[in-house]
Amino acid sequence: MRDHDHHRTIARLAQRGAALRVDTAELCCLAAMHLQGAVGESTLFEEERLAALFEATIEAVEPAAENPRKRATHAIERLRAQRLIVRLDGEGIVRAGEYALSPLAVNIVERQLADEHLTRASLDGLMTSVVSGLTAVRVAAEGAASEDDWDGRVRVPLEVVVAELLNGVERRQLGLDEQQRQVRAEITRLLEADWLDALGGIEALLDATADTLVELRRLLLQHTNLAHAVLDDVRILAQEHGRLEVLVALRRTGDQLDRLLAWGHSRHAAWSAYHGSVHRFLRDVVRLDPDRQLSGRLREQIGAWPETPFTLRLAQSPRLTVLRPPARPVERPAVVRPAQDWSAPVAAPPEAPSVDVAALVEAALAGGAARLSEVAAVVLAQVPEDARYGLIGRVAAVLAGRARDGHGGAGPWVAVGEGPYEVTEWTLEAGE
Amino acid sequence: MSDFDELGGGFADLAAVIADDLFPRLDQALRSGLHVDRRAPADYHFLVDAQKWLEPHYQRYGADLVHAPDGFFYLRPVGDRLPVRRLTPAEMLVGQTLALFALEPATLEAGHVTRTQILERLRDLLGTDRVLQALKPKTRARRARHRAEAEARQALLATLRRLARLGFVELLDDDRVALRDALMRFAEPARGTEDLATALGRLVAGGEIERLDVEPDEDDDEPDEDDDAVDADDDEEAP
Repeated sequence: MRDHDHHRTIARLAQRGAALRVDTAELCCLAAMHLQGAVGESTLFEEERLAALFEATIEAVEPAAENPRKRATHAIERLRAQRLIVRLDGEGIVRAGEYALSPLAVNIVERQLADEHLTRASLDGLMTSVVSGLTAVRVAAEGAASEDDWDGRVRVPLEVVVAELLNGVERRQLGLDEQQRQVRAEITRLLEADWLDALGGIEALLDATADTLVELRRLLLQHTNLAHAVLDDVRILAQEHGRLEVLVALRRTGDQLDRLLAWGHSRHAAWSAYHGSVHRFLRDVVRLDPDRQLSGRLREQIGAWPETPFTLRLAQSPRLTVLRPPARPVERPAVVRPAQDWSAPVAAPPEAPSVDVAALVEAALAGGAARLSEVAAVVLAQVPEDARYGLIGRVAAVLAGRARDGHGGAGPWVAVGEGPYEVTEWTLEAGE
Repeated sequence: MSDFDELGGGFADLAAVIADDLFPRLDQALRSGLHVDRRAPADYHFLVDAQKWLEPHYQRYGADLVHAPDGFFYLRPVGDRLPVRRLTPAEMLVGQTLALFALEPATLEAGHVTRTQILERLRDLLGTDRVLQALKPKTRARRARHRAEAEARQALLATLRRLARLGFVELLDDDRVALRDALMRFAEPARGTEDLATALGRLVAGGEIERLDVEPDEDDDEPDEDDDAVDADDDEEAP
């Protein structure tokens, strides 16, 4: 399956709101149904019998439950809604009231009940079955004459039988991981409880676990080597016959075998490190401090801080003096202005002559000026030169309402008379 | 490539030790105060093999190459030719607390401790105010509690980083801290049956530790205009 297929599948599940919620009591009820079959009873339950079984189970696991009958009815409804319990219909006729566990529920219950620790015997048995299965696949590949032969006798056994067996080994690996965690916790418990007296028990636990891991690693190495050799034979045959789908299945199986081997190596390495740490702890801490006085004294010492302060002395490398490369100083000219006589009176700017701009503009318009530059030229010609620049704005202000295309428009720049001023040109509307 | 002699299983002479590829880095690390334990197997075994030649070599510089019974090497300055580094009170306190953790079976099971556990243990042993005083001496007690807590965590992390550079701990991902064998140096004064003063006297004479004079924090109860200033020296070197 390609990546985007995965994403679509997951998106569909999320959209559907797929969920599985089973609480402890409900799981116990499922297990009770499953165990009925183990003691020879029918695993088909009429409604009344199922309700009675659920009620009894809930009473056992939840003694404080107020209304076990009602709780049982709700549990049945919830489990039915999740298709963990199915009602059986036969030949189109509804046989109302007969229930059984769905395959999903059977798997869940079996996984919960199974004691799946990886032992020498279980690993040996499973890996022998894997190699046998692969050998049968090789025989089938050697005799395969048609596409159906390759598909039914080579690919399917590889993808289903062998993969299932390897899954079994992987499930048991998780069991072994859990077992190792329990051993660690047990070692801690023994030390906390008995300290020096726990030494014998701890060393036995460590050695037993180490022996198991060494043996499992050896078995894994031996069987995976055999399995890879058989896979190589099948791969050559598949390549000769151009069976791409078989090659893909072979690659997956090979990857699964490599994963098993890598797990074996990593667990062995992790346990070796832990084994060494525990032995050092027993030697350097437990044996040398049988009464745990060191911890007590250290605790007192910390608690009394800073009554008797002291510090450890350590070596310290001297800092090397590294000379910087010579740099020529950059001469930056000071930001100054020439000295001035600030006490001298400042000459006041000439006052703008009093000019009736509106009257001058009206006169220019009356004289036939039809553009801003023409009006400005006429007006400016009538005032002193140092007042002209400021006057242009006042002329424009008077004419603003008369601009044909609005006074904000950007017309071409044109000279006002002989210059040196320029304005953006406005064409003026005809006079009223 | 190490040049082993056939009889001793070590190096033929000091020249062979110095010519080894590992020497320059290790020499520099030891002179910087690093402790080398078995978790760095190549470095540790190099020092085991070269110990015979390196001990007189470093003595010429006024330092002892110590191979501690707990299984680690370090350089101990005994003269004035090599500069001496002294751990800060915060580093000492955190180091001693970590040594306490190293003596506990629960740490053995987990293989590490978390920074939260370290801070909680410090509070159990000293109380919140004294922990803050140790980790952030310039912090005042009247500072808001949530802020003081954040600053204590920050100061603890900075202290752990400095201890990690010296080979006392290893900072793992997220919150976890792996303890190294050299932490047992912090437990030295508590070993044996002698009282603390006698043990300290012995260790001072051996050049392992130095006593410190404590200067009381006189302005503890006085208003401090710099209350809101955050120290920028989290990563400072010890004096």
